[in-house]
Amino acid sequence: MTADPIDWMTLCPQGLYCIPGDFYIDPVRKVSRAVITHGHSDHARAGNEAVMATRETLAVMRCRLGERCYGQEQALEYGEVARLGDVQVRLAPAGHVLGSAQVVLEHKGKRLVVSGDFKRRPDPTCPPFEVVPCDVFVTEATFGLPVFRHPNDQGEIAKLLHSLSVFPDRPHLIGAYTLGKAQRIVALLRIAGYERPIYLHPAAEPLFQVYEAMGVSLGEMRCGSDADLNGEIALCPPNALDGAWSKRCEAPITAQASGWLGIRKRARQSGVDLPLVLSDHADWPELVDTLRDVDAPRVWVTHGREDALIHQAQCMGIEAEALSQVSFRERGAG
Amino acid sequence: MNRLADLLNRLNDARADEDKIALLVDYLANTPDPDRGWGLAGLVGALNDRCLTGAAMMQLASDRVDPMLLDVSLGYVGDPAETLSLVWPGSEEGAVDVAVSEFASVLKATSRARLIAHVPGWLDRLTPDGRYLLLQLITKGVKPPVPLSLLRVALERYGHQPLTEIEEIWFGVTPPYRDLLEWLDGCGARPEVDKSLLFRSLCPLTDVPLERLEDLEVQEDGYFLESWPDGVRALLSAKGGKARLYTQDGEEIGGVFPEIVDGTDFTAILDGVLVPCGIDIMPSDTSRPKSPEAKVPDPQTPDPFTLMSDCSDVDGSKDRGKFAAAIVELRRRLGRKSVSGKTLTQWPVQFLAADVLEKDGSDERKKPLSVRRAVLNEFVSESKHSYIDLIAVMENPHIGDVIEALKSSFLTTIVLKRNADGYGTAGSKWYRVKNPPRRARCILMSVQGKSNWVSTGIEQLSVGIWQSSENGGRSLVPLAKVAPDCSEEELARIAAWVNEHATERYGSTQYVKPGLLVDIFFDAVERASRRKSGISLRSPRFVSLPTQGEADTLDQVTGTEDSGVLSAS
Repeated sequence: MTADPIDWMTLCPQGLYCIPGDFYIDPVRKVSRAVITHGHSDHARAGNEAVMATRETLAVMRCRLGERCYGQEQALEYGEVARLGDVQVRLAPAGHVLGSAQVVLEHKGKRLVVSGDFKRRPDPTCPPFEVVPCDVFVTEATFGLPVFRHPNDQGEIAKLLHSLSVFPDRPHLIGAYTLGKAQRIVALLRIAGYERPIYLHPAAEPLFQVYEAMGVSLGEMRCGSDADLNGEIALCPPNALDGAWSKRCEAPITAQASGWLGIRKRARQSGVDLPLVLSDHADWPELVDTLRDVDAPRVWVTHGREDALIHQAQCMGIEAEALSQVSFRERGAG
Repeated sequence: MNRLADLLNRLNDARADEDKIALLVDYLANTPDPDRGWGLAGLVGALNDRCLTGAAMMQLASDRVDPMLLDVSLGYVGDPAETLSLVWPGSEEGAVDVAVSEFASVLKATSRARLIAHVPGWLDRLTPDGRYLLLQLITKGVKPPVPLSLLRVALERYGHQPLTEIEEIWFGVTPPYRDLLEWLDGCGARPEVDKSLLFRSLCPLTDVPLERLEDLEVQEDGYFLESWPDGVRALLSAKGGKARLYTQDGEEIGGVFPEIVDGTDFTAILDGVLVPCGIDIMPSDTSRPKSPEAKVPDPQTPDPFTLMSDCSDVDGSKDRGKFAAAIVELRRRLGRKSVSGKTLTQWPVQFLAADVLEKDGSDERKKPLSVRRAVLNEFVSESKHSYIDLIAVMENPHIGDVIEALKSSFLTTIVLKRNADGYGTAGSKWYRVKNPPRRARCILMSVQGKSNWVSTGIEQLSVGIWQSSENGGRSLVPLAKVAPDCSEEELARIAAWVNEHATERYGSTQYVKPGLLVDIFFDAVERASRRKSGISLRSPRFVSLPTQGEADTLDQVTGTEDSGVLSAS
């Protein structure tokens, strides 16, 4: 086996696998050893025997998936180095949600970094993305098209606050992912000077408690189930905007926070009164800047729209291909 | 321009009229002049200037963006203007917004070529929404997000000035509406405008169902009965040979009715109805010059309205078919910016005056109707204008007269006015009695609204009717959309049906398996070649959910006889 990562990494049905370390990264099926980048459900799943992640990610997993969602745990601080088999493993901040990490692998003098989900703009609820130079950079490409340029965060929050001033007696219900997005919206509101209590849908409460326990303080949060929400802001999961919980409000102003809503068709389809273009993923300019900053000679693109970003990388002189197309030396059955 | 773009987005997304008004009032209160006035101009379509073609627009983009990326982006987004507004690599941090007034001044002052030269620099300074607005203004044009009448309500709400005064001033002010806005701000005097050719509010009508007529004590002396044929209510404002024609909402339509606004030989403001010419729906007055005959559509083409000629009606239903076609043409004219010579000869329109608001400069509105009627009769008979006439009137009618009038003149509304009433003064009321509506039994095809189909979420029902096809089978065609104005129980029944029998979903429209019967009322059937059914219904509205029965067929709806006074069926 040479030093080239193409020889010691491979793609299995369960996910990305490191051969000398004998572990998977964000596997989609139960495995014996998994390194998890962050707590979102398409990356963190229950049933793995041993899990390595940041302390915050592990807490989020236990909250979402149950106390016994994994067998053994190994919590790794950002920057702390662990050895798994013949590979050095380190976690670096990804700036996506609380506890999100990039996985930095070193073997035989070569370094490979898996970005996981990440963003570049500052987030009050988690440490920012750390640029780690490497030989191969595996990047996500959720918003991998030049049409995705997220507007300034504070500008979107200003739209929300402006709506409150035009409609001061109506409840403002905001649909947002309960992990990461919802907490970030609260943090941004506090920075903008909004000091009133913010109300929560019952499904959102547990994760807010995890954030508090991990030291991210977000001001006064209250349960939104029995309160009078007129003139207040309340957060709920996106699909709860149409449900019984929101229907008990008379004539609410509905909002949704998602990076996809910059596209008019999507905004119309969402059916909300106030689309807020807020995302926890890097937009196109940030994806391109990251390629430039990391300056890896090889890039594997995954998790989104690959074509455009690959084309862009190639124009920048980077050898880029889709992760699913990489010709690994071994294609394991795991 | 970014601020205006945000306002436009919110106006388009808001559902309730009250919400739109609140957003407009906020814009008026918080936007500095002159951008505020130019923003208003943009909202009514006064800033649209189609000077950039789609191809030229994409050319601008290809100068700045890699062609492969542009192509992939266009494939994803679909709309060229939106794609360009999103991919444009302008600097957003610290960019100085393009003021609407800046855009407007360039628009007015320079040639198209020079305007286009400004565009890339502007695109650099705007947010994606701002860019989209700019591109819309110079390509397809921005469609007004709210009707003019709603905008004027917002001005009233903001400035606390009477709506009638705002309506009258509106046509005399031009963008950026400096005088108007200063007056509404409370800093200036009421703008002086030449009021002679301007808009006046029309007196509203109160609908009364036929059965309730007796409550009005029509027998009492002192009522006029006016037969208003089916048409469009309008205001004619004439002075010194020039005239303007307005709809009820204050929209100016004189441009598409030259036969009426040209050649006026009096000075007056009249309230009346626009109706097609040449069809014998009134007792004809042989002392007046005859209006040209309206042409009939080709009798070879199958015409649902000719089916009606099989009914043996007293007044001759062949005319009903002609009339219905002529009404469709009349309504079509309203939507246009100009009218062709062909339309003018084939489908001429006349103005039947029902009331006079001003004559020779003197305000007649406070005078009693009997006086106004005399004034009106006198000068319309004297006028030589071939397309202006008087509405048919009966003095001191009995209830029996009313019912007869409704039966004998088809598609007619009866308006009852008291002799002693002024025009639109306090205490005066005009009653409108319509022909009883026709009923159709349809099948629910889809519902629209915010999903999850709890009963409060349903905003609109789309119902359909059976149409037999040539090979003997039948298919369901959409017929009308109605609001679910029904009881809680009925709403719950509809919601239950939707939840159990849902099929596909497109955006906010949920299709369901056909099977739920819905009864609707409508006033009339009109031909509409663009629709699958070939017809459209005038004023369809929800009646009930029958528990048993058969749905009607398309032939039944187009060929149905009047059911007369409301009958339980």
